Amino acid sequence: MTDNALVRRCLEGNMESYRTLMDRYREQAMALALNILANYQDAQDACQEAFLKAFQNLDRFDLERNFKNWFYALLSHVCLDQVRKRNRFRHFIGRLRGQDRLTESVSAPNPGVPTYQAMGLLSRLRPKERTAIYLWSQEGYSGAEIAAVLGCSPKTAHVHLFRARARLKAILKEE
Amino acid sequence: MNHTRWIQMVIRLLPFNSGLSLRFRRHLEQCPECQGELADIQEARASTIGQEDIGASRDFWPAFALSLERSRRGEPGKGRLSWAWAVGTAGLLAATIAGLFLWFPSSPGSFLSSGVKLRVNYVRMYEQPAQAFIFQTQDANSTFVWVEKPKPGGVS
Repeated sequence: MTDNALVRRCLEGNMESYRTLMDRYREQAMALALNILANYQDAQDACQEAFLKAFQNLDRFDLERNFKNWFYALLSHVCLDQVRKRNRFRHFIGRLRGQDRLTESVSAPNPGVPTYQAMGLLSRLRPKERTAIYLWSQEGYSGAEIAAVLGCSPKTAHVHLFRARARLKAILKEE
Repeated sequence: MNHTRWIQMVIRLLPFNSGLSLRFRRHLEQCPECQGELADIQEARASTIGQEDIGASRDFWPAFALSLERSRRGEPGKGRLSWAWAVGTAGLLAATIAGLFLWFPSSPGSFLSSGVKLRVNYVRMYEQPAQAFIFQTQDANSTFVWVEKPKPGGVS
């Protein structure tokens, strides 16, 4: 059954169809959130919030559109919001400690929480660049599709992608 | 500035749908020098976390169902709480402003310049209507007279 058919059934009151949608996208959602946030627990929270928001706004979803792209846009918005909040908190703590900015810690060592080698590398890119490069390399998204997810113009999406690729290449050369 | 950065800057300046922008973007994908400056798709894939790296992720359904049940029962969520705070703060602010106006029944102008003892409204300065203020200092030994042209929209 297609995503949009599941959405239609969900709007008719069938909750099981939403569960199917969640099962269909939970791994992909986790991957996108992890690439943006570079922290497993934050990524889980973001996915949870995005699935809830998507459900609450399902009646606003245009059934002519692609559900996955719509959901990704919502999820990336939640993640970028979380990054902003985290940066504000870091800045605040940094000022309390007498430093202007704290260096970004990728993930605190926490037993039982998986860590990924790529996290260190990703943390050196900007959040929108991480989103763009993940969508391009892992999901095969075009510039226009990345733009739809990031809520920007296709030109800006291309700039994010080119910058991410250039930065990544420079990091790989360094290593 | 190196060749690739220059091309990227030109792309940023050009309208996205223009033919020239498209040519520059194609150039980035084909020029060996530019390719050397950009990570290719294989490198990008190896540097990002893919779906297959995650394995079986947590089932979000139980927590989702719980949150949904809470919102159905009408328990206050974050959004509602912030709205309540916004309405409360606005009400308090309005009450404070109303209280200030009641406490100081004179015009805001006289409240702000509490040192004014006498105000003369009909003074002409350089053949133009002006306003005069007489100030008396606290020790009462000095008196100042201040004459100024009325400000547009000011108290007459």
